[in-house]
Amino acid sequence: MKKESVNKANVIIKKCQKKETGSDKALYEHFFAYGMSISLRYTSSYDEAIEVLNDSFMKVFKTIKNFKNENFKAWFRRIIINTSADYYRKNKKYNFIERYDDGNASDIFVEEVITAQLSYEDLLSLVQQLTPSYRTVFNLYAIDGYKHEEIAKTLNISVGASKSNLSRARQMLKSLIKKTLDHECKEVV
Amino acid sequence: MSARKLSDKEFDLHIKNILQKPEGVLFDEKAWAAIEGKVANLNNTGSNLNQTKWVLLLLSVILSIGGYFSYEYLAFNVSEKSTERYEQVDDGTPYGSSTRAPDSTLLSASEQFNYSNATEANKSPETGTGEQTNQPAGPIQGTIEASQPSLSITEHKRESGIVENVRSPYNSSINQGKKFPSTENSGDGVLLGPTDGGEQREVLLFDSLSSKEIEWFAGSNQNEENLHLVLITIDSNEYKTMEEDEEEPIIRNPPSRWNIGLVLAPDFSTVRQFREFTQPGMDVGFTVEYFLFNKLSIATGAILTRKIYNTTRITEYTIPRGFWTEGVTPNKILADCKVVDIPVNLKYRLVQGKRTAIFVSAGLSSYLMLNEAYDYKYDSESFTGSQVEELEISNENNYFFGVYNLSAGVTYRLKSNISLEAEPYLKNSIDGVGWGQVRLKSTGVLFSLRYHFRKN
Repeated sequence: MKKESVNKANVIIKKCQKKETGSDKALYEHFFAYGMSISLRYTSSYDEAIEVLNDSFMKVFKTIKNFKNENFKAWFRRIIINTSADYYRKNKKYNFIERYDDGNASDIFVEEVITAQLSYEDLLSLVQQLTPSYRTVFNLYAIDGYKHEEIAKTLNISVGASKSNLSRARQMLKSLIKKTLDHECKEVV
Repeated sequence: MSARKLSDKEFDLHIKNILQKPEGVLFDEKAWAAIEGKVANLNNTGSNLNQTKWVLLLLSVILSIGGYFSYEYLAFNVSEKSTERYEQVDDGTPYGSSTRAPDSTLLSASEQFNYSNATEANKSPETGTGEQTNQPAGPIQGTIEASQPSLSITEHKRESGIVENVRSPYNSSINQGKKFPSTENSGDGVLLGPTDGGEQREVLLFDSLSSKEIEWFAGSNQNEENLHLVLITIDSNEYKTMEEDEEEPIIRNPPSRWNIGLVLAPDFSTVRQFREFTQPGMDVGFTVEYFLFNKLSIATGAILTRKIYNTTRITEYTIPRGFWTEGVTPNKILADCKVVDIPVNLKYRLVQGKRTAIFVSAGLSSYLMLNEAYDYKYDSESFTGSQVEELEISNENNYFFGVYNLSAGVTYRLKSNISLEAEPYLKNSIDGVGWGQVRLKSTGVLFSLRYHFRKN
């Protein structure tokens, strides 16, 4: 984060704590993009991501006067991840089907170069297509650096389930990437 | 191009690198608008639900105060509905109207008059003789000292032998007395109840053929030629049972403020229009009622209810996103839920008759969902290839004070301790209940059999 940006953020946070008018909207605007970058990859659609983000912001607004930490972003990030995990847990039982990849993807040969050519938007939409269990575990482990024990506790699943979801998530993601790239190649040709 | 298999770690890292650099996420004004209201409410320290609760609480406080004042007001006005300290209540409420029987024993007509301190000067003009004293009647002597009070009777029932609504100047809360026929030493009289804390009783003698208005002093009512006004104090030990030509009043223990009831109700539920309900469920339970004031009571209880409803408009439900995988939504959802309804209501008696009363009631209910069962019907094949799917949730959700109740009803007193009630009601959820947060409405009629406790 650039220095001016950090200072600006601190100013807004202080104003929020004093409950100055307009400070909450300013905070929302300032951290909207950052927050969305996290919630988008934990959810399956833009609207869902907004919902998770707004819930997270509500938590922030409720407790911001007690916020003393230096690092707002880290705190905020934690809140969004927890909200996403709550969201997942709440809706977990409604997922009748765990779409299990049939195993084709396990031997997929993904070229390093091709993977690097995926754009953010493309990759995001693929991640959103993962089933909630795979997506959540993958995000927590691969991107947010959680360990399997932490994941198991957060999501209320077993460590074994966390590990197997992770590997299946990778397989599924790889196969989705492959499908996308195959389509693109075909279009080009 | 080099092509080698990526290790898991490398794969994760690649994905992470791309996803950590978000592009193209612009601020969304609509997203802010979605929570702007809630944030504002946060600052006002009150959500919608909280505000509703406060409004209802305030209303109940106002009602209680109003009820208290109206009770106090009525108690001091001559009216059939005021409380009487030796009033026997037959309708099972702690206070109430209808037949009131006077207290225990009463004088026999032909004896026990102690003319204490009754002097010639205090007698009113004689009956029938046409004589009139020249002296105005002085203050009544004896154990009560007063100056020129007046007494009014607004009703006189000769046949029952009870004179109602007598307000003695010496004790404003007395309003009933037993009539006894005249003796050679006195005219007709009314025996009033004991004064506060004391043993003495007041006797008002009056002419039974006179008009309703009676005054203590003949001097101030010269038409009352036949008045004999004598104050008599009677020692309680000399009371004897009167010869009655009517039923001895039944003396019961005074009723307590509590009653309980068994409740049965057919219940119709729907999420939109009432004409769309499927079949009624039958509710069963019990309620407990406590009288705060004369007409105001608070009631609570537990009712086992079954909510059966359906909808074909899936928009009624706020579905958690991602639920309808593959984008196939069901065409019809049938819900069958077993719920424990715990109401807290304020009941107010609008009209009180001899045996019947009409009341209104309002309050909040909490729904404890014991079991929720939902059937989803699809016209086309869903991803599982079946036509109907089911979801069942057990013992998970509770909606505390999430439902408001409105009702009015009639209560009929069968016996002194037992009454029947019929109460048509309307319930609606405040924020939405059940899976999908539907606006569940229910209506029906609550029938209850109530038992009124009495103090010992």
